[in-house]
Amino acid sequence: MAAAEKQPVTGAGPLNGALTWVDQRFPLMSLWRDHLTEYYAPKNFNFWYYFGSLAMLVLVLQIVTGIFLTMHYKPDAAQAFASVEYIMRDVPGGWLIRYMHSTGASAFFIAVYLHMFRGLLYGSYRKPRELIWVFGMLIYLCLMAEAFFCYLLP
Amino acid sequence: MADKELDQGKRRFLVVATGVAGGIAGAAAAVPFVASMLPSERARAAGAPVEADIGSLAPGEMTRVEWRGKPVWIVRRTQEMLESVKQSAGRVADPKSERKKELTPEYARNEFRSIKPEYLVVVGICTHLGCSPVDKFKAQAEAFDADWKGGFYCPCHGSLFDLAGRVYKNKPAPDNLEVPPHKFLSDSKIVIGEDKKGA
Repeated sequence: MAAAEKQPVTGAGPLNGALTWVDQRFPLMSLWRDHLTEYYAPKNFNFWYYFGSLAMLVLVLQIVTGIFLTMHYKPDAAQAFASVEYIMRDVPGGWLIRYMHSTGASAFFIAVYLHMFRGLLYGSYRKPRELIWVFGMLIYLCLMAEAFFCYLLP
Repeated sequence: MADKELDQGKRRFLVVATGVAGGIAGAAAAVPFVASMLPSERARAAGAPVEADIGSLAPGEMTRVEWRGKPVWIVRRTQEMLESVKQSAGRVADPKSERKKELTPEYARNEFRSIKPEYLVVVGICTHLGCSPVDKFKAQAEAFDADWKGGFYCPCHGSLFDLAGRVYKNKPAPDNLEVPPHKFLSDSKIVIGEDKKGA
C-alpha cells in the first residue's frame, strides 16, 4: 500500500505535510511544475511572449468586473442609462469597476493582436503547431463576437 | 542539467517573493469589488436621518414627516394635553414604556415619552397591523370611548393611544407607538433618525 503512494513533498517548509496530503490525491505538484515553475520553454524568450498570459489576465478581469457590473446594471432600453449613472455615482467603487471593464475590452484586443503578431513573427503556427493557430483563430472569432454583443447592450 | 550548480535557496526565495507580490496585488484588486457590495449612496440616502422644522408648529398642532418610508408625527402638546397624559396613566397598558425597550429610546422612557414634554415624536403606524391611526385630540365623548381624553384612534381595529402614544388596555395593539431616535438641533429644528449616541 505504501508503495502506491507518491513521494512526500519537500522544500515547502511548514506546508510540506498539507501539500503531501493534497498531492497524493490530486496531481498538484506536477501541474505546478509542468505549467509554471518548470514550464519547458527556450531561454531566449523575449517580451513578445508576455502577451499570451497578459491576455489571460485581462480575460479574468473582464469576467470578474463583468459579473460585478451585472449586479447593478439593468439591460433594458429605458433603464440602462439610469443604471449606468447609478453605477458611476452611487455604487462604491462602481466607477472603477466600469472603467476597468471598458478599458479592459480594448486592452484585450491589444494584447491579443500583439500575441498574434508574435505568432506570425516567430512562425509559431508551423508544424507541429498548426492546430494551435487554428484554435487560436476560433477563439479570436469568439472574442470578437463577445465584444460585439457587449457593445450592443443598451 | 547541472542541478548541483542551482541555488535552490534563491529559487525558493524568488517563488515566495513572486507569490507575496501577487498576493498583495490581488488583495488590492479585491478592494473595489468588496466595496461595491457595501450599501450604495442611494440606499444610504433612503435610510438617512431627516430634518424637520418645528418652529412654525402652534401648540396643539401636529406635523408629519417621512422617515425611511414611514410617517413620523411631531405633536406640539398644550398644557391640557399633557394633563390628559397624566390622567390616562391608569388606562394605558404600559405607562412607563417598559415592555419592549427597542420601541422607546432611553431618553424618551418617561411619563410623556419625549425629550421635551412639549414635543411628542412617534412613528404613526399602529403596532397592531400597521394602519395609520387618526388624531382625535379633542377631549370629548366619542363613539369608541365615552370618556375620551384625546389621543389617537386606529380606524382598522379600534386601538386607542393617548397623547404620549401609549396604547390603552385591552385593545388589539400590543405595544405603545414607536418613538424613533431623534434629537433637537435647536428650539425649532429636530432630526429624526439620529440621536446623541450616534445612530
